[in-house]
Amino acid sequence: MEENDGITGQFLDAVEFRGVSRRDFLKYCGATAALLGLSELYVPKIAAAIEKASKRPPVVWLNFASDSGCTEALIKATYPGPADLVLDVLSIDYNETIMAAAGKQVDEILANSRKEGGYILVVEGGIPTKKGHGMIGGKEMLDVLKENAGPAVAILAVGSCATSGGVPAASPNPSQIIGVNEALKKLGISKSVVNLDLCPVNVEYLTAVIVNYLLLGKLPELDSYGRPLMFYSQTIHDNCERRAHFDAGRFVETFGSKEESLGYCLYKMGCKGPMTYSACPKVKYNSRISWCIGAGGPCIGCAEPGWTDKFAGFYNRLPGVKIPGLGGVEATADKIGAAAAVVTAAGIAVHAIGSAASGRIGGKDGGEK
Amino acid sequence: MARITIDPMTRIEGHLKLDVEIEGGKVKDAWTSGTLFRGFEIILKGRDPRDAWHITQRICGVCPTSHGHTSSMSMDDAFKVKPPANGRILRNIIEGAQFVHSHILWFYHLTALDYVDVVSALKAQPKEASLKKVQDKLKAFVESKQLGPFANAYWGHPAYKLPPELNLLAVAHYLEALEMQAKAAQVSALFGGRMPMTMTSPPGGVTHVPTVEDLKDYLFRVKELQNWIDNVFIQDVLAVAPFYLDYAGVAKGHANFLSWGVFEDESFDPKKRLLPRGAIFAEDFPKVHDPKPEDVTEHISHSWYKGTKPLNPAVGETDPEYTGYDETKKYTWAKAPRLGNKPMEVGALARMLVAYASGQPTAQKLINSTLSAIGHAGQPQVLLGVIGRIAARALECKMVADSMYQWGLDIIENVKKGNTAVYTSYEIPDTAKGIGLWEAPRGALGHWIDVDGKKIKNYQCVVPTTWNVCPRDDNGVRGPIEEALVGTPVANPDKPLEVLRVVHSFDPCLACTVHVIHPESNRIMEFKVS
Amino acid sequence: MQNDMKYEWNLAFRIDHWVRFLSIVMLVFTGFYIHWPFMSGGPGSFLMAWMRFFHFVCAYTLILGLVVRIYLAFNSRFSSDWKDFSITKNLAGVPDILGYYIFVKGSHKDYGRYNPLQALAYLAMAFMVIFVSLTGAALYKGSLFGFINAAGSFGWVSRMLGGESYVRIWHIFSMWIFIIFIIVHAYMSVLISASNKDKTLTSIFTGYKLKKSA
Repeated sequence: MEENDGITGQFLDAVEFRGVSRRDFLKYCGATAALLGLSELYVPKIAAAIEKASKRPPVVWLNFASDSGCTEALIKATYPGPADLVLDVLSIDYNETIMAAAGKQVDEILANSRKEGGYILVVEGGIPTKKGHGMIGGKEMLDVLKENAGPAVAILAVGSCATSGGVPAASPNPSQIIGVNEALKKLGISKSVVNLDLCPVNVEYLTAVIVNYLLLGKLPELDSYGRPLMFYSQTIHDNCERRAHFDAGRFVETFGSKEESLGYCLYKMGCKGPMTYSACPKVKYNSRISWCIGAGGPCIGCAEPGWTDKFAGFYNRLPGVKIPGLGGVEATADKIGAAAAVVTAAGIAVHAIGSAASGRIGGKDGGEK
Repeated sequence: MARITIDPMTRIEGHLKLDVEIEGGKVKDAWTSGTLFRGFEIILKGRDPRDAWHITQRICGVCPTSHGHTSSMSMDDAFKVKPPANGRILRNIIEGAQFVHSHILWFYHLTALDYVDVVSALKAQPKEASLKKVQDKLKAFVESKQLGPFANAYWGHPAYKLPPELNLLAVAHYLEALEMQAKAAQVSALFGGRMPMTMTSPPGGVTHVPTVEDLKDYLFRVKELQNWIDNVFIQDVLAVAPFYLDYAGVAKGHANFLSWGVFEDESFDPKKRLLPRGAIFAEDFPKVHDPKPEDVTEHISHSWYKGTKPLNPAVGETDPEYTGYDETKKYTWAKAPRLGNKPMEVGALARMLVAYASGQPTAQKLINSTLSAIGHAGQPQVLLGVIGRIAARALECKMVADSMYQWGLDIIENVKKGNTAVYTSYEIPDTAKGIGLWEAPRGALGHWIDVDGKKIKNYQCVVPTTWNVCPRDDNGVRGPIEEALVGTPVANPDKPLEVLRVVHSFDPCLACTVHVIHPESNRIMEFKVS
Repeated sequence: MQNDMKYEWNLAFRIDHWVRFLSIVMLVFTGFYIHWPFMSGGPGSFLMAWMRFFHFVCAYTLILGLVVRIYLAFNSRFSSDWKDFSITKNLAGVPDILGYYIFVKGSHKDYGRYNPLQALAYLAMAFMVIFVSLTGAALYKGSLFGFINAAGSFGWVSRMLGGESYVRIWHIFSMWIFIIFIIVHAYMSVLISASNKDKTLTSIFTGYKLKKSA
């Protein structure tokens, strides 16, 4: 413990020198330790990893078919705050939305990053594969990815667009947008990608993955969709603050109702919490001030691969099912099942009448002679 | 004659490519091109209409809430449902916090670096300990050789005119503003669940009944924002402005302005919104006209779409066809919206001018005192151009933040009277049509919805940056940014800082533009001499 | 009288049949509630929790019922009937029995305990129990039988069907197949009892059926 305090003290001095208050910094490291599922004992190690005096980890942030919502999320960071994250913790060498340079000078920066290599490549937005539908500097976005994926030490796909195309890749996917993993496969580049599904990404997930990388020198353990298990192993439903009302059978039937103000469960309003794996209820958003369900908005499932189509319509409990052979006619599973049961019952009635008419039943001898 | 292409254009949302022709040290002609197509209108077809307000938020990550609200309003209109008083106010609050967030972010992080020389700040000799600390931090930062977002910019350009001390102060406030924009977004999140992508404003009102703690928390947070805007933001604008007064007349553009109006009052009359509806045309400036959504058409003769006729968005089509970049024919994914065949500038300047000319008292007071401060009392026409756009955003930010405090009190008053409703129920009709006309921080935003069989049959959005960044129309008339660029002096075509200033003054947001289009990001600056 | 009767179902078969029936009925009822909670719980209630609890208990029961039935099919000293479920043999008999049921033929051949359609339907339902259990397991977040991690071991079902929304949809479709099966099964029992006059319907309670008079 003594030894740890020594290290902590040393690093905190260094931190304070850089203009972050000791309290804020410890708070941040504590929050990160909790996120990573580590004990408080790791706090000084996290501090050390972040404050590795020599070099801040360089980050190249590429924007493809996105709406920059994830860049917006990045600068809503908590601990560290956006200013510290952007200037003290990371070296964000390339991000078109916040960088001072423009045009030719920007291209030089990117070329320089590629030459030096060793950067963390963060990709925001999916990659259009239809010609001319997504270009940067006269190059197809797919080629831009190809060029910059090679020298990266780690690739993070942030937000639903980057992981699997997201909203702009929803049916009929007009620009044939694909996620980073699929794009790399198409390009023949075999590099593992950390997928941070969510629309937009939760910046705490992002910083925790980077800290984890700095701390342990490796990327976190991933699930079968490439998402870090530390954030995507439990459903929203299982950790929801409204879960007790679900178990009790108390549900919101109308928005803004008395039931809503009592915090009842949003299950019947189409909440996708039961089928969405993410630590949202614990980490929340915007400095943990609130989150979707906390504010009475049913989960729309944006943490799952294949969102949006797999969860539309958002206010229905389950997506509609296209009935084959009826050219796009959609119905719910309940209606299809009930219709099949009614048809069966009708068939039976007809059969019973037939059996009576043919004399198989009713008074006379049986049919088997 | 020199020809420059700035690609990517940075410190804007999305990807914009800019082609500029320079002659005699001035811009002779300009072309703006959006190069990413995402096709939201196509995606929306056949879906449950209630999903539209979530999906359209993904048009833009900077102003998602405005899209969400406009979409919900188009359905309010189509489903004939009206949010109750507190629902209306809560939508205003969530929207207002986004305005404050967006304007702070725009001023400090997107445009300030066109006026503030970060490297020059190292030469300052600050007296205050806090500024000294910032300077030390900046020094350490520069010495680390990892300049991050500040690398390779036009530092030392002759058009930077602030003294080192002011540069340092601005850098300090750049950092502070990063925290403040996040705090403003927290206010949206308080009632919207999260920001970006709020979750609580479906058609009919809002989902959540605010608790007493929420409201108390809210008032405290708004007060903090108000103080910061009054004591830092507005002061910074006033301190910087005198050094750039030569920009007052630059980049006037067409001087036609459109505002659909934003922040609903209890009458639900768009002309009585906090920032009212209206259009101003150059020929009878500043007379306010009543803009009609029927008069909006979208020209596509220079955009990558099939079709020939300009169409009204209610019957609009989106049928993409990429034919390569050719500025004499088609060169962008952005359509060219026109109001009565006129190109219109949209944004804070348009809103504040319309509010001023319509007699909105707060806007009049703010603008009059600003005009007096710069020695042009009673001459609102000096606001046309770059400096006016900056001033209008700062003043609007203050106006909205001040109103937000009052809205919080209004909700408390309503709750006291037992009026707690925030949502009105409705049935989705089998067929319906609706229009939502509202404002994003970047300008006039319209959503047109057509429902058939309880599903979306057609959906069209005409978004702020499309108005501003659009190409030439069928008559060859330039879009507002193209027009504004003409005549801009450029000292060094290799470092076209002045061009950045003009483009940034419109706060372009390209994800929006084509909601459908993401303009090509300006990555390479080619240099052609012809 | 006793001589006319044939001992069709011993106690083990009958109990197993009714255990499976009751568990299916309970599963359908609780399943409907879990899918769309049609009653609200008051203060201090655990309505949904109980519904889910019974749903899981009945799911285990149904699975065990199937295991017992399969054991009996191979090891019953009374009647190990697994050979009756041969797919090829039964498919060959379908035209004959189907022809009879759709009134194309006036009579059908004499089959043992199960006619070909019956045997195939029962076999299909056994597979349905397996399918519904797999989809159920993929939706279950806890530990199955106390030692199998459901999320880890059955995640592949969810991936195969395209995500948990679709697992739920398949789970619901499966339920409707059970409902439809029960309706048809009950009708056929009544129909055959009435046409053959051999007490088929009551045999599943008493175990005894009338011998063929011929």
